[in-house]
Amino acid sequence: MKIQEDARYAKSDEWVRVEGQVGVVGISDYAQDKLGDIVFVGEIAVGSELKAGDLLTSIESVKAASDIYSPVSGKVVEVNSEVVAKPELVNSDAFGAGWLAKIELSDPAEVNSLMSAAEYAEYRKE
Amino acid sequence: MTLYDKSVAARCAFSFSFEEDEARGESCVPEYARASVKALPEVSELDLVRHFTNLARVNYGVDTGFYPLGSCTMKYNPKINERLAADPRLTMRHPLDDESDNQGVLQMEYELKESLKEITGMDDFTLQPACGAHGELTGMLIIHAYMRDHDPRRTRVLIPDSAHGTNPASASMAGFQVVTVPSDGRGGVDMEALDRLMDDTVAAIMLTNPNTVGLFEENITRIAELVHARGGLLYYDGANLNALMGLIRPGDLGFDVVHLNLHKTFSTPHGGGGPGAAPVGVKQFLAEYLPVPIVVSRDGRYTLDSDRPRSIGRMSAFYGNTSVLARAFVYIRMMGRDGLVAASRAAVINANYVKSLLSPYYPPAYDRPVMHETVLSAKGYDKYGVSLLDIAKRLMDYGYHPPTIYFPHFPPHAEEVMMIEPTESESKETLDAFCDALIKISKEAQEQPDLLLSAPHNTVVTRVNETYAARHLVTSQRDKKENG
Amino acid sequence: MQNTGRNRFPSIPSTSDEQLTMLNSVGLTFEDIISCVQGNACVEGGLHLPDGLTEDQMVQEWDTLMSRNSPAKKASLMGGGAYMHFIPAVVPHLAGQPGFVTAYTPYQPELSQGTLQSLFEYQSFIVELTDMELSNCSMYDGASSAAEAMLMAHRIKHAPRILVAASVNPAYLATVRTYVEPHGIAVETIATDESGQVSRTELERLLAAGPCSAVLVQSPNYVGVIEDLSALGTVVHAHDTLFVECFTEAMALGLLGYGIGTGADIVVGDGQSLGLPMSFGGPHLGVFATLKKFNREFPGRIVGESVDTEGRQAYVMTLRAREQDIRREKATSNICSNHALNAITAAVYLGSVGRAGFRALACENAAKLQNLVQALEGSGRFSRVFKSGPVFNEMALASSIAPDELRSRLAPVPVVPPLALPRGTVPEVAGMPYSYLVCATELLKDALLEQVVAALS
Repeated sequence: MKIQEDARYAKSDEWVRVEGQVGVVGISDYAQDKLGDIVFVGEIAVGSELKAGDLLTSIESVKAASDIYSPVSGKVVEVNSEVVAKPELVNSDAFGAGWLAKIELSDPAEVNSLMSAAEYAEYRKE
Repeated sequence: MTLYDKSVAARCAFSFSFEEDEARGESCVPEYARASVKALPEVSELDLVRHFTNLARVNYGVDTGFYPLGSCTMKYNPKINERLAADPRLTMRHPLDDESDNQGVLQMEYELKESLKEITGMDDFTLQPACGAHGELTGMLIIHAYMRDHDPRRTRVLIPDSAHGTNPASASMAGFQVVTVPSDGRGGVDMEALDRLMDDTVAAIMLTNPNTVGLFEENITRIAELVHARGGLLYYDGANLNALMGLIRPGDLGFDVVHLNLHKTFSTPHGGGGPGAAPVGVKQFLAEYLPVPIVVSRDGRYTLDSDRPRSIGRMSAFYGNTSVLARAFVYIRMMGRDGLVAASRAAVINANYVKSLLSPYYPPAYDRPVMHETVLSAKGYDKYGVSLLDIAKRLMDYGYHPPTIYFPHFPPHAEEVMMIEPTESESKETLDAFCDALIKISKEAQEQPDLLLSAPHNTVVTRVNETYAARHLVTSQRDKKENG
Repeated sequence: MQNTGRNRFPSIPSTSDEQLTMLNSVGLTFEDIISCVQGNACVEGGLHLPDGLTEDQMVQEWDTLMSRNSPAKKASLMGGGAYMHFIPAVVPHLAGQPGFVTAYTPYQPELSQGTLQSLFEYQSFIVELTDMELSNCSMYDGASSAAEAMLMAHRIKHAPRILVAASVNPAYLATVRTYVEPHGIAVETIATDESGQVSRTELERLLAAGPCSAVLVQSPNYVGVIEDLSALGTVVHAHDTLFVECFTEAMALGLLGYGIGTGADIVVGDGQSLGLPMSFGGPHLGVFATLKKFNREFPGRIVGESVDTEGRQAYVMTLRAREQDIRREKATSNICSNHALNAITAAVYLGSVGRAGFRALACENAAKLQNLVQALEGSGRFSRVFKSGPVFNEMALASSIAPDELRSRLAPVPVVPPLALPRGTVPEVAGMPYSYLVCATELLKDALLEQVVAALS
């Protein structure tokens, strides 16, 4: 199980990496592994306002469907269109090319309530 | 190759004495409504026959071999059922023709309904639902309508975590919110959780009994009392009735609504995915909500009653899958009182026999005697790098259809389990040979795991890439053409 | 078991000795095994059902029962949602093969290529016939397809209203109501104009009154009139609403245009006419086709093309994550078993009649109805209810002959009489107080047509 050191994690297996005022959001390597071959990433509307815990999108693999929740509050400012066309990027590079959305953080302090990489590694220890 | 690939312009598999010319027909409809000629294949009759005969040959069915698919009750489909259901005096009936012309078919449906009432202990039945999920929706709509009239606060439905996915989908489609009830350590409903969840917002609990792990719900009477005492209703998913005929009746246990999959317990063939039929039975206080029309007997005549103001309405255009109902009618009539009991007895003995032969190699999920099916674990083989899927695929090489192996959302203590339902149709020799195959496979898993990982080898195609299909969606010949 | 020792039930192979052997191997008696049910209400003294029958006895009883139906007819003047057409011998022969009939849902593609490829071909044919992008591998019947289409439109548009043409088959409308009303979706009907078609003014008015998830229109409609789907589709799309086209007579697909060309978002209907007998109303075939942009929203199963590990073409069920066994209460529908064998039957039928045959049959149906109606009008006892509305193979006729008399006049003719319409279904024609929905198919041969006309003149 890969862990991204500079990201924070939600219990529902999403990660966020803060870049200035923006949080880059994706699902963890653990989550992609559990889902298996991902075949579909649902649409995310640019400009939508989300609260932490709101539904961001849904992801489908061959044998499962999973709702993905935003780990932070804010406005969606960019969506990874490449991952919509090639959902397998989530499998191959969950913390890199497989990111899902960039969210302009309305409450940057919020990320502190998420798990650190070490805490998440402990949380998802097999 | 599809039929399109075999098409040659001007070939024809059809002869008919047309009396008009096409131009006359086209002139009958206005320009704005007219379509161009549709792209259908053109093949000779023998091309067509070979195409579909060869397709049927590469399909595995009960008539080909043992099909122990748990929860699906793949019992033998007697051929007399097929012959009688194909009687033109039945198949040529127009559903809207005068009742006086349809007395035979209406009587058949009426007598089937009476038999089902007796087998289940319910007071009335509709024969309209087309298959299990349609039956569930019908039953849950009946409960929805009843609660609307009597206690509209009740908008939630309790469903055990072991339930088939159709149950929550049906409850949700009928307008309810679904609440999951956990299982206890013995595979039954967790009574403490039920006690906590069963409040005055709950309309009903949906139960499968024996449940999807083949276990009889030991607390069923207590569950019924608890749910009824707090104003809820009990829904019985009769997909797994095959163990209980003549032994116990859902109506006597306190269930208010029940659906039966005729394509399971009552031997109508499954057709590779339907058509089935799923009559829904109710207690008297719910009878007024059944969908219309209902076949009734009045003064020695059979008639379709549509004058039921509280009915939920219609579930389909007509009265149900009549020729499927006919097969079940014939099955019940031929088996009779003793035959149904004998079928359940044989099904239960077969399941326990398979469980005892295989337990040393594939430990049971719960160590209790089972009813009509058994759930066994292949978790121990992961240390050889072999999954249950690999074992299932290897079974194909031995000439068997694998048991049920997919359990999305199943309780975690039951991961990597297979559900085997032998049914009463199989002989001891068949069961012995099948168990031998699974035992051999358990040795292969340890000694030659590659044999399993690359299985099946003897089928018309090897493992099919589901991921590729989902990522490169081609669902018609038109898609194929567009993709070049 | 009988005292002779011979098994009484051919479908139960194990003898009592074998059952004992198996129980000994288990180490339990049968009573031990079923002790889990004790403490609950058990059946005392057996079920109150008659004794079983042997096969020969069953054939006799069946014969007695079926002789209470009137004999099968050669053609049907009755349509209204079920149609009598010619079924080539290859159709039941090929679709009735045990490989297709006795299989379960194709969960294991390696053992189910026959079902899967046949369903892929069915989907291909439906895509062509409906001019849509995506067909599932069947629903139960036309009415439940229409109802599921309304729920799907609601999932996409979220508006709490749907509009249904008043000229949709009343059983379909009733089914739609049953499915959607528990979700708080209001069903409003759109009146027809004097031609028997959907009134565009009414449609405009209802759409302008507030947001709608879908508009459902049937063509040919219940009283036989062909709708101008393109014109209606344009109006519907101007209001951000989904346009759902419906048919009850699949033979019309050979001659009439549906789908993308007429602005449909979903096309639903009943495929019974594609090689399936009427069977007293079921099992029929629910056709459901839509656009690719809705490929996460539609109900039902679908087969996709793929490859096996050796790169060979192979078929498999796909887009499974929409379905109930994965998504449970969030699934697009609860449907699992559908009418797969009937879809295969339809594929065989369409393969049999082929491109040219299907067109010719559709044209023959349209021409047959015209011949019949002209002859009946010539008798002076029948008149078209809608003078200007174009029709396919069904039409509303007013008559001076009452239903009972009509039935007795037709009794010697081997046809199913036309459907008598309840008063108020269609406008009254002066001097002709009764109205009928009259259907003609390719089975109404000239000689039979003459008999019908003679009996009703």
